[in-house]
Amino acid sequence: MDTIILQDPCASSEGLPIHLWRHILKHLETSARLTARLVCKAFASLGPHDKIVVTITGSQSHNLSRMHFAAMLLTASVQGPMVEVKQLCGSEDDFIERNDRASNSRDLADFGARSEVASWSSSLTFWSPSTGQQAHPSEAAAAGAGAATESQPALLPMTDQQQQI
Amino acid sequence: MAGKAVEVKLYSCDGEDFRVPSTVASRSETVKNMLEDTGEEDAVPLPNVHGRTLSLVLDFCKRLVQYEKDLQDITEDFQHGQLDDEFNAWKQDFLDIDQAVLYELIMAANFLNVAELLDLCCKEVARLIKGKSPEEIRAYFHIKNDFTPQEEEEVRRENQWAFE
Repeated sequence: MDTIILQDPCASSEGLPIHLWRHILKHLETSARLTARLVCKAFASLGPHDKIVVTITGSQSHNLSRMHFAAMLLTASVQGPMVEVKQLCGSEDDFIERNDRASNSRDLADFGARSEVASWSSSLTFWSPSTGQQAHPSEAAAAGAGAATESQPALLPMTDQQQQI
Repeated sequence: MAGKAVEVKLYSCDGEDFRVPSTVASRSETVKNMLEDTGEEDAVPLPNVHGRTLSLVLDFCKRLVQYEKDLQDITEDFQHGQLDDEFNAWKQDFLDIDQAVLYELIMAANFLNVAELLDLCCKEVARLIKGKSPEEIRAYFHIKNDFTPQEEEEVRRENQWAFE
């Protein structure tokens, strides 16, 4: 499905081709992207997440465990290889309240953390929601690689709240 | 030879001519490649871009070139933030356009391969989507709901995990 049907083509020129919508939807956080999937078949075909943003809150000294958790979540949930990890600098209260996370987000790639997340994730444990059994990270990777045609997350699903840890 | 920047000539699909410094035109990878192939003396035809859209694209490229030049010239750290603020404010004004023009700009930025402009415009559309329900998004962007009730329910079920 790669066609977006406009209600009134005259109203907004001819619309945009689906590959540009893909580019647009990449700029949305997961919950908004999932909402966008309900707009039309073409948007749904873009998949729930070929890119996920994980936001980590709290000061840097507290980030290790959170990054572990984030790594677990993203590795278990992401159906494609595109992962962006963001850090929200702030206090423990920020972590609990999860306030203003967008305004202070900072790309952890600056700290080379993307590769660290990838390396930590290899030592984590994953669960399969379908079987309830433990799954090896390599299965997560395999499931992610094959999930482009699947709509359900293959392993431990990440809730919107969890995503905002 | 220090001196006047080389100007190149671009013309749009509706026959409008634009003379701009090659440094500005070359912010478009597409134009840059054409200039490398044909030389800077020949006019570059852009059959997919209307004059009014090309004008906007070039405005953006000029401002981007200016911003980057200003960044090189600064001597104090605090000026960096000031330049960013000014450029961000300019971008906000720049995006004060209607949806049809925004779409045209996205198409042009994509064709001309101006990554910064494509990114800026796509972020703007994403901003317009953010916080809206599927019905609101359809209404805003004039997109028809082509799901059957069963298909829509299926997608809702697929997404459920994220909203539990």
